Amino acid sequence: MPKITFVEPSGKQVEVDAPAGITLLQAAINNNIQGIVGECGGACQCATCHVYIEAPWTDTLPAVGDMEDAMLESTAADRLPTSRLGCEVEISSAMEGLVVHLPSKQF
Amino acid sequence: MTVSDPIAPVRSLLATANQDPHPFFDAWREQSPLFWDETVNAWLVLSYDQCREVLIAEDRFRHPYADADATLIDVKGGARNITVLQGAEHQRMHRYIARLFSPQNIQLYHERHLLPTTHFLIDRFIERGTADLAAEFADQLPARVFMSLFGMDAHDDIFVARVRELHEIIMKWSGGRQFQGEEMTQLALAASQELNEILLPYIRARRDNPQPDLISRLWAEAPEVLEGVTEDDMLATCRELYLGGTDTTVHALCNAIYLLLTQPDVCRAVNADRGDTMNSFIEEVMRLLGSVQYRYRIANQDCDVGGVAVKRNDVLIVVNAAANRDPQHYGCPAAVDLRRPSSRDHLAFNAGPRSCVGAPLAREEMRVALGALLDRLPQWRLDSEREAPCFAGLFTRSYRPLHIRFGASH
Repeated sequence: MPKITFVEPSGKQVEVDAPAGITLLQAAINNNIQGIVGECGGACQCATCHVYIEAPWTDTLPAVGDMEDAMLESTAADRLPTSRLGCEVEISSAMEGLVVHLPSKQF
Repeated sequence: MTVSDPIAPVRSLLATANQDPHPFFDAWREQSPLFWDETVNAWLVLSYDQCREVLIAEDRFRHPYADADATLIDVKGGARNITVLQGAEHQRMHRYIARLFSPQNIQLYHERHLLPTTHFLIDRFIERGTADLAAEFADQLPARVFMSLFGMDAHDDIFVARVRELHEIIMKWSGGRQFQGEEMTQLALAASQELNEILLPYIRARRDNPQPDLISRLWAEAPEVLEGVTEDDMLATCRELYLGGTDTTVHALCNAIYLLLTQPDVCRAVNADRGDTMNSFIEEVMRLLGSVQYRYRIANQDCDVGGVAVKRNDVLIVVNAAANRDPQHYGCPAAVDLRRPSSRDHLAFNAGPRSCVGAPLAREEMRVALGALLDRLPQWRLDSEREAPCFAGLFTRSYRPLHIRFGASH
């Protein structure tokens, strides 16, 4: 079970054990991480699970899909090259040590 | 529960119309997360976890419009309407409309449409010292904002009143077609036809001569969303946006104003902080009182929902209003709590692939409207000599009338 670190908007770091197969959004909700909403329940329909992926992971995660790319245009905080939607990133065993930053706002 | 308990004889959602439904929801939920309602021949889903589960799992619980017949499509204004569309086409349309209401676009709408329309309405009664904030403000604002967005004349009172009336008929029909009878269906079909006749000239004019408005933008961008988009598709899309934008926020606004007028501590806190506290208040209004109270889903197969056996093709009425006061999920569920953690996890705007795509606009309308009322109506209070507000409705519910006095009280 890979360890993932979420960095909340306040700067607080929370390390969680996240089972492979669930999404970053689900892992964040399961661990009561602050700064993520996921209003549509993880259906890639709302852009309120916006996260920033810390290097070097940005380039190694599966690429942004067309649906995710479209919704990333609607994020409340600026879209950066490191932006992803938490509901579209499925955790795998290869993601040990992944660091995920939550933006200052989701809406 | 004793025989004399007034809750006990009430066994149907329909019997809760025009009164506070929560004592009934609470009593039924205590027995089971799902309650079989004989009158409407459907399960009432009452607990937070089960409501959320049903709403999110569209592969297990389909939206009833997946089985849409010709009558429903006629009432909704067309088949390629965001609520009637299914599968990949629905997803594409939902994402597109979500982008129309992105934070960046909401900021543009704020300046060009929300602020001017809000102050236009307040200006009309500000000198009087009295108003019915339901009829003169909350009923008016969302429809006029949408007319402004569509490039229509948002100051035409007769036109606004007729459009609102037609949308109310359609919302009522949508809340329970199966138990409202043929007469209501005919009314809804006639209302739909009239709305089509109202909208079509605008849709044709904007196709031929684009303007800086939402209909023109839809014409320009819809081909990326709907393959082979036609005039009928544009009508269907505009009809649903118009309906969603006109009716639902009315109830949310009434409920917000009612809470501010009746809970002075809450009003003081919101007045003092128009940022986080205002935002928390809006979420609490939606959680506690909401606007649309329930949604329909249909089970795709025999399944277990919260320990209750549900059969294939059983109808489930997902009572989000009940879920939002589930004591298993919320501490002090009947109280306004401006410091509630995860304040946006309520189900008032639905959850899952059919979560309300206009929620950002509704929230911004409430922020602007409540801020303007607090700024411009000093010492506002309910007028004790006029009819008191009542929590009226069924599919949508709101406190009305909202007769107030304002200005210096001495």
